[in-house]
Amino acid sequence: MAPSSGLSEVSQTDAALVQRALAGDQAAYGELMARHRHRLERYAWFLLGNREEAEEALQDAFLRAFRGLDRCQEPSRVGTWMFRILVNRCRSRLAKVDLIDRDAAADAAFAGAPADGEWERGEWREEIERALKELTPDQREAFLLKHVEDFTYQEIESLTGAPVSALRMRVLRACEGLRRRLREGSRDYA
Amino acid sequence: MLDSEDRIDDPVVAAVVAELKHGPVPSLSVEDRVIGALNRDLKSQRVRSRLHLLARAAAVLLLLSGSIAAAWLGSRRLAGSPETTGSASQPVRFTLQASGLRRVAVVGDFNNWDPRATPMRRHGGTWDITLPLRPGRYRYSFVADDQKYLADPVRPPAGDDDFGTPTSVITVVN
Repeated sequence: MAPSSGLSEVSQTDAALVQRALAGDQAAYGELMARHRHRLERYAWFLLGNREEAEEALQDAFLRAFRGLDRCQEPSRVGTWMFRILVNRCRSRLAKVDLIDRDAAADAAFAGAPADGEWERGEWREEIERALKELTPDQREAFLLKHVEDFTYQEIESLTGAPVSALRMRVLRACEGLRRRLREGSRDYA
Repeated sequence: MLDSEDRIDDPVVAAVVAELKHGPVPSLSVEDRVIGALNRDLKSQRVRSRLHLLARAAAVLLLLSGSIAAAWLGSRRLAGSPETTGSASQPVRFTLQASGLRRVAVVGDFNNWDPRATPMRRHGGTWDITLPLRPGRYRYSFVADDQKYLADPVRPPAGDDDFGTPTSVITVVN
C-alpha cells in the first residue's frame, strides 16, 4: 500500500495557511484561528476576567489580524503576531472599561462563566481567580505572559513595549501577591 | 534549559501556574462572528470592486467622448482613497535615505496600507514622494523591496500599532 500523501494537506504550516488566507481563503484563516485560539482565549480570559470583555477582545483581535495579515512579516510565527494584537486589544479594553477599579470589578471579574455543564471551577480555581483579580493589570499581564504563556522577557518587551527591568519587577510583585493572597487560604500545596 | 528567572520555586505560585496552564478555560464563542464579519467585508469589497469597474468604464467613455473635464472627474472617482485634490489637502513629502534597494513604497492609513498603491521615486540614495493629505493623524511605514517594513527615522514612532510593524506618525494640520 502506498504511503499516504495527505499529511501535508492535513497539517499545513502556519505560513502556508497565511498565504491561503491572504488569497481570500477564509477556511485557511478559520484553521489559523482554531490552531491558536486556545492560548489566545486563555490569555484574554485570565487577563480580563470577564466573558463578555474577553470575547470582544478576542473577536477584535482575530478581525484585525485578518485585515492586517499582509503586514505579518513572519508568517511562520503568525501565532505570536496574533498574540501581540490580542495584548493590545486587551489593553484597550482595560482602559475603556474600568476593570482596573478592583472594588468595582470585585463582583464582575470572572463573571459570565457558565454555571455548569461546559466547564466547572473548583474552590481552588475560584481562589486563584480572585487572587489574580487583585493584581494590577500590568502585573497580571506580565505574570500571564511570562509564566502561563511561557514568553521570554525579551518577547514580552516586544509584545508590550515595557522594558525588561519593569517586567521582571511586575512578575515578582505578581508572584508575591498571589503567594500572599493564597497562603491566607492555608491550602495544602504539598 | 530554564534560566533562573523562569524557575518558580514557590509551591503556591507553581500550583497557580499549573492550574492556569492546564485547568479548564471557557470556550469563547467568537469564530462564527469573525467569519460573519469577514463575509461582510468580502461582500462590501465586491460591491466596491463593481463600483470601481463601473467608474473605470464611465471614465473611458468620457475620455472617448473627448470631454477632458468629464474625464478628469471620472479619474477622480477612480483614485478612491485618499482624496488627492481639494482645498483642505496639504502636500506632504515623504523621504527615505536608503541605498541598495530596488523598490520603496509608502503605506499608511491614507492608502489602506496597500504596498502597490504609492511607489516612491528614487533620486540617487533618496526615495521620495509628495502626497496631498487632508488634516489629520496618519500612521505609515515604508516598504522596502516588497518585503521589509521600515519606520521613518525622521518622524516619531506610532505607539499604537497592533501589528508589530515599524510605524511612524504624521499629523497634517491646516
